[in-house]
Amino acid sequence: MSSVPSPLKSDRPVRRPRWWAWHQRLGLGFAVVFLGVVLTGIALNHTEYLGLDRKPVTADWIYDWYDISLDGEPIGFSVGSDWVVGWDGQLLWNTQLLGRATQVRGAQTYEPSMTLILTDELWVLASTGDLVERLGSASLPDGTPRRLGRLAGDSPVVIETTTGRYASDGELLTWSPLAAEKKVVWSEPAEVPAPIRKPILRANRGDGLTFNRVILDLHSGRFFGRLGVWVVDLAAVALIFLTVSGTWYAWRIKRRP
Amino acid sequence: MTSPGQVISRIILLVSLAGCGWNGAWAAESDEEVYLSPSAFIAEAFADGTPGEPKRLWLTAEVQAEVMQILDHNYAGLRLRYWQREDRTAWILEEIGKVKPITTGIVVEAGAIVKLQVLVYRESHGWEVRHSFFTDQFKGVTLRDGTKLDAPIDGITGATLSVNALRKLGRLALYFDRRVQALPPS
Repeated sequence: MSSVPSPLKSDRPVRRPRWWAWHQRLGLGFAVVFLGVVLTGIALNHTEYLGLDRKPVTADWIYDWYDISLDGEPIGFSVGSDWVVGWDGQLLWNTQLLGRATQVRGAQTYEPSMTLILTDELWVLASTGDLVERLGSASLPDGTPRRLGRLAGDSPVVIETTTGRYASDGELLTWSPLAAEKKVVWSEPAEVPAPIRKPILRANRGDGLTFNRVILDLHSGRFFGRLGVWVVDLAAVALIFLTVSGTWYAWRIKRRP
Repeated sequence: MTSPGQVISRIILLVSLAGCGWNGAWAAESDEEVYLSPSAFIAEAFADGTPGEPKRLWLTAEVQAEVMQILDHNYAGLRLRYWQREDRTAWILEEIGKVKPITTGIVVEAGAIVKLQVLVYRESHGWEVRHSFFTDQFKGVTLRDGTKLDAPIDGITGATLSVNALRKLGRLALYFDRRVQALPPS
């Protein structure tokens, strides 16, 4: 199909202004940013339909990128087939949150099916992990607790505090100073296995980050930090320039004699 | 130097706090103020400073049903320690003011509160409840109509949640005391 020259316009090419090269450079240079902003904008316009504000992000690398994690390393104590874990101020029975504790100092079995956990307090748990009672300083020996253990070959519970070592009666009602020669088996921390560690980490990340949040940050450039915001700002200015220059150029072609 | 990820996470935190009314239960850390250790409170609760062996109150379904009436939730655990000599009992109880527990010591004698003292305060606001001008209001207060206090406890502006928490703990200690006084002597 052959083109028919317009009787109204000359075939003489329109002379482009010198800055026209920048129209092309900016358009190509920011093309990826424009595409990103447009696509994420369309997604954000349909947040509810797409359920973006309800879908939690599960990719670990995104949480790492956002620096959403627990501080420090977990301290774990193996108690039978269960684990007592202290991590970033949280006290957990396996992956179940028990409460807040600044530091877990020991955990061991108590009686046939209960568990003792020593923090600043002594937690008594049932075999299911349910709390039986928490013994505060009024029910513990003097001083700040340091270690939890038991007498070697015997059942009494032993707590070491800043004031010495104390052994309990069978019901944890009274504490008596322990003779120096008595040998104690102390509860020792161990590395928390991945099947316990990962679910804890994931639970803390939880649904704190939705797709909507991530797409919004991609849209604004915040996903890439302060630099990303500036790049999106520059792209916005470039888009204004492209719009004005493109409109002006189109208008000039149309006005040709 | 702050990494881009940290910057983003701070932005998210601020937006979350501002927009979602997040209670910040564990994120908004404030210092724990220990006014008196629970062990010192229990020692002071009895004239000779020797409270003796603690006793244990089992928080049965029946007890927890009454607790629910007072606190609007169960008390954590299956049993609770207390100290008793004749008709005087001493309790260390906790209740959340806004987001963190307030540890409170309460002494009850002959069915009336003798002493109520805030021992550990963890909230960022409302600490005024620790002062004696507030806690002295509980002296001599007993229960009426089941588990209600028989005297009004005036509030403190800006400390409403902490005041409410201490009112509940006062009721709870009186209820627990009534419960253990009814037990046969061991």
